Amino acid sequence: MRAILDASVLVSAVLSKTGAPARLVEFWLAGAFELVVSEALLSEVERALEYPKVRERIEPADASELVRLVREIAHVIPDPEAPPPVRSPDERDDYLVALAAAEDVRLVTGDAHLLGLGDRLPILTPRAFLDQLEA
Amino acid sequence: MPKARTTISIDEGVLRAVRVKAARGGRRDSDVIEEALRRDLGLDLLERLWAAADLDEEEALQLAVEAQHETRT
Repeated sequence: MRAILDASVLVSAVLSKTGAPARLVEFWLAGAFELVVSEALLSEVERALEYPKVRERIEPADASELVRLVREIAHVIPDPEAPPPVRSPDERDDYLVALAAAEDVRLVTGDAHLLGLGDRLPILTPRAFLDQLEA
Repeated sequence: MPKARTTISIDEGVLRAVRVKAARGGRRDSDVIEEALRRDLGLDLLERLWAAADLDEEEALQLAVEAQHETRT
């Protein structure tokens, strides 16, 4: 099974040790699914980790190490040039939709705009994806 | 987590370095190998981050979504 965890999921995974995102990272490292990322997604994770309220909780060196880990262990694919099959209300989400569609994988997110597309594409919350893995 | 026994083949020079480091530190070879693997696989990093992570799931996701949106170009 392959899946994209967007920046909101990857960042929240290291802000809470008890939540579904953290469990998903454990499942990923244990080989329960393959994490798919792109350079645009990795850049978004880097920027989110630099957000001041996040930076208060995560040291820059640890943030860099986290991004290195994801880049090294995840499956990094080129960002698709094709447009997304469905547009998000926030156009800045579109690259994630295009990526998920191009790779035919689940997109796991905490973003309400993206989750609103869940009736047309396999876009789900961290908790819902965790439930699938544990089923 | 319980320990599991395994057999692996590694470069002789690497094994020699493991044994030297273990001897100098008064530790077992397996401890030195596990420490290196934990570091390389990011397990130490996650343990360190999770030890300091005091938000609940909802708070963490809310902050992460905020960070994602506010830092988008």
